[in-house]
Amino acid sequence: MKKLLLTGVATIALAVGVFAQGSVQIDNMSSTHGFAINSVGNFYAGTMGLEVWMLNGGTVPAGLAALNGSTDPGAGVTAYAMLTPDGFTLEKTYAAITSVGGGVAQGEWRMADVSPKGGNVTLALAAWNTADATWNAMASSPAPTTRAGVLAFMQPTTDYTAPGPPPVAAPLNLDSAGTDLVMTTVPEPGVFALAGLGAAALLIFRRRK
Amino acid sequence: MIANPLDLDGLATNNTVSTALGTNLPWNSVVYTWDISVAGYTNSTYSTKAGGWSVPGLRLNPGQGAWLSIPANAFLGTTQSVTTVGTVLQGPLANPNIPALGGYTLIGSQIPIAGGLTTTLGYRAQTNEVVYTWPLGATSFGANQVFTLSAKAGGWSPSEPQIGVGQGFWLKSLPGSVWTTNFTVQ
Repeated sequence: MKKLLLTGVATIALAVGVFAQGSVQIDNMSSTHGFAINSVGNFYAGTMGLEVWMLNGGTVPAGLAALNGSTDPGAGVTAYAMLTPDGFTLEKTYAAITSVGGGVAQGEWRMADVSPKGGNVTLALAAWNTADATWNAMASSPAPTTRAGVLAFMQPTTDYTAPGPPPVAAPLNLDSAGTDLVMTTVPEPGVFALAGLGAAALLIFRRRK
Repeated sequence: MIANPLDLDGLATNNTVSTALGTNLPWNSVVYTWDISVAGYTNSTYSTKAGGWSVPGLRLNPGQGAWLSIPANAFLGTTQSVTTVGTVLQGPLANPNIPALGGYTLIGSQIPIAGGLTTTLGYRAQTNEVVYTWPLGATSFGANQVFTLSAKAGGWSPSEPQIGVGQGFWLKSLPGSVWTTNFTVQ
């Protein structure tokens, strides 16, 4: 009987942990920083795609933080490759939306896997300046004019299941990163394959030596 | 919480943040409205990035309520009024912002009259419906801002909610609630 009771308690605790919630306004119209092309402050206006990635806890992984605001060619692709290994989860994809003056206004988005509910998380926004439906679609065949970037920052969320009238979620906290999301050139996938081969060859060469 | 009690063109459906509030607010002010069809917020920011309202077509019709967020210190710590211009809706009016199945809704009066929600503004609440108001400067829904139509109290508890002109409020309604008014300018 005791064993059964303990099992029941453990299951309930797990369920509470799994189903915590947090919401955010995908909106940076009142932020100082925004979506830029090639350099900080060069705000983008036009069609773009946006992926919202989330990591519980408000500490931005060091590798991603180092790439925030980078204007290096391919910096966005390098940062994007870190998201899954760093534990981020893709929460939402906005395709062919419009950026005005480096700002987007997409309304509230609710995330069912924020823990603790209504807690701070790390958001990583991955943006690209084409109408492609996803980042991967964009990266698989980039045009010379394609630009893409990633920005990671601490984001407060709101527990939208709290009792009483629904609370308003916080807008995107881009300004906490202290820089813009800079979209830079996207290398052809072949360039990455070649770079990978080169790195592998270098490793083999060093081991033999 | 605010509400727009005046109408642009007599249709009561074409009022937006652009037409109702225009350029009368400080930059980075945000209006949040509640969409009962999805039970979620929609918002528009008066933004320098957009050179105006980020979602200029965000509806703000008579009968809707909205949160208005103004940047800290934009009014230098003073209270300011925002003037809106329009016509007063008349005749039989039914507030379309109450969900048929009940639930939370952010609403306001369709007519520019202040007073008791039931005795003056004509909302016949069902027992156990709740109204939440938000006075200027509030930081939470305190006990004096929550009103329940209580069978135990035999009426509104702690008292009938008083709604000002241009004031929005939350209503936690029950299935089947309607708010009808018949108003004529005397």
